Amino acid sequence: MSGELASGSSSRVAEFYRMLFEPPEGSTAWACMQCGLCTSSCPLGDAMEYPPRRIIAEAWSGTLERVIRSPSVWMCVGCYTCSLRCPRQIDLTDTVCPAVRDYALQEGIQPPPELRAAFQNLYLYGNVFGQSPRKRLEWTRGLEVTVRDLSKSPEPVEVLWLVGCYPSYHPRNQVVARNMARILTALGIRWGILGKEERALGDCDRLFGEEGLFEMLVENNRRLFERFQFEKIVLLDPHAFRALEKFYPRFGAVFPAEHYTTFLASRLQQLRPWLVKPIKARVTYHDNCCVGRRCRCFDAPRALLAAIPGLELVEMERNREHALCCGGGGGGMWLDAFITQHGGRRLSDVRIQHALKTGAEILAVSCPFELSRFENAVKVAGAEDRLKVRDILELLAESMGLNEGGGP
Amino acid sequence: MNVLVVVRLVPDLVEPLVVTPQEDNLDWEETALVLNESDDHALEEALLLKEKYQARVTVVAFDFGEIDQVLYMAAAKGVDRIIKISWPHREPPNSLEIAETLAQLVPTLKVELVVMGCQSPTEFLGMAAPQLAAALDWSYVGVVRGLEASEHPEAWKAYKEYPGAVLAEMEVQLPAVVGILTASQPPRYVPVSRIRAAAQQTRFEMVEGPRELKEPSAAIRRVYLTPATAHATMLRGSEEEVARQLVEILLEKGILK
Repeated sequence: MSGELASGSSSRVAEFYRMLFEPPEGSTAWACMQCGLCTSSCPLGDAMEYPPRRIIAEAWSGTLERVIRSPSVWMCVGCYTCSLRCPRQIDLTDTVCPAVRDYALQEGIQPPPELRAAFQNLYLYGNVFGQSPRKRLEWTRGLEVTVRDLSKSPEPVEVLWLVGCYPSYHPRNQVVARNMARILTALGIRWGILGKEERALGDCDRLFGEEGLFEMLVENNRRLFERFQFEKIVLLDPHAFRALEKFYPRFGAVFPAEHYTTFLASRLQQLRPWLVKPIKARVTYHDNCCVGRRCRCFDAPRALLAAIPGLELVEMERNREHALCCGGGGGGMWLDAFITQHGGRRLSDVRIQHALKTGAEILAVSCPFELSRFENAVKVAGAEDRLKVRDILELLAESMGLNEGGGP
Repeated sequence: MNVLVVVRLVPDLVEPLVVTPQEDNLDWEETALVLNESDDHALEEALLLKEKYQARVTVVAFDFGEIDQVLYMAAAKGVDRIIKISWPHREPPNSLEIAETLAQLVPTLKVELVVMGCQSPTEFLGMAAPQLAAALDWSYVGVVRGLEASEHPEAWKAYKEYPGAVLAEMEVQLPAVVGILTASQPPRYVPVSRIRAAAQQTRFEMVEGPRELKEPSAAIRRVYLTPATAHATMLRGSEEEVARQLVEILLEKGILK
């Protein structure tokens, strides 16, 4: 099939085709053979009027107008299953959905209101919560370890820790952030944060087609990071890690980055003597989509959990690259009601049943979105007395005797 | 139909308000500003008039704070003309200054309808729109939630809510000033790429505002943050500790015996 555009009547359509058929890397959507594996493996594919396969077919036919008016435009949760399963290695998650959404936005199609609010908050305040950047340090209140706020006193550090929006503002995730601070300090790592100058990295916004917003965040963040001296950026948010690792370099913003699971797993030898307090519990781990399926990093989080004495690690039926998404990625975090309305289910509710089936007492996670999503799902399942949701950092800190209150 | 939209920046309550040491005003240099919510709705209503009735929409704003960002957003949304009034003063214009300045400008613009938010946190009793109408000697209706064309060419239909779920349909004789509470639909989202493009392509028309301000007839005696008279008590600790504290409180209040 030739690379000629099916419809080139407007520059916006041309831009859509450029995004879809001329990706900077990976296979072009022209290679699609319409096998439908993407659609059959999509966790919401059955509920989409236009699943990935059909979007490509419509793009070929030049009939995008009807696609962008469908709710299915906003239903992809960025889980990367379609990209993984595509026999032609078309990077559907990173190209098709963002391209359609970008085109829809450029054509004046209004995103669902809750997503609009998230975009607006990011644009105005640099975080999805619409909170003051000055409150980014609230998670440090009462913390007994020293926090180097590089925005106030720049100094060279080994690790520039981008705390992230959820760990900075969301009370449940603030506990995780405090544990990260304690663990980094205990390991003798010289670390610092950006304090009130930190802003979101914008991965979900890029996946949601807000390319302009993403570019704005990249430009601001690049200028910001370049002011400081550090060896590596470490992140709690796998989506942000993914953005920094794959998409920032497209704008010349190249920074060495690691998700905390791989960072700590690489220091397991140093960590192991600290892991003295047993956690006698059956634990199952949920692979988040970005670190897991997308970056194919499955062993590091399991190695961290396995190093905790007393902990018994059990696997869910769907694990590693086949793990079911929690439904929060790609902006799904802000579209729960919309996706549930059009998809008929909340993926975190389905996933929690997988965890319950294992008989685990703890569902371990490594993504800030998952704590609240799965804790809600546990309540929906009425399983609060059977299953707790805890970030790996919380479990490590408990075993190290560093967690809040010193207890479980 | 030519429509003028007035947009204003107001303190953004996401950031804490800072009062001057003299307690005579907000410290405007320390105050983050954001587009006044009902002005945002006024802009949306004007854009709907443009789409439905081919109205030509002009936006006007005082050059205070980071107003350019708001004006680029308006440009990206599709307004036809943008006018910025110079405002070299330390404080934003009050409602009377807005009304008096615009009353000079509006007759030069050949507009028949001025829409603006019916209220803003920085004005007393939502006076800017009615004061402007009075200064122009135009019709005024406020707290409006939608505009439509009337069968009479010199009038518009305005919808206004009253207590008790009563909706009034009013006929407003043109020229008129309309104070908008909410637009007929939520303000539209415009992608950031289009705002950025507008920032590169848009040129504002500059109009000189008053260099000297009149002495206010009423002086502010004191500006201060409302003192907290009571605080919520946050219960902290484990589930058991919180439950124990809760029981203690209920016992203390005599709810539990």
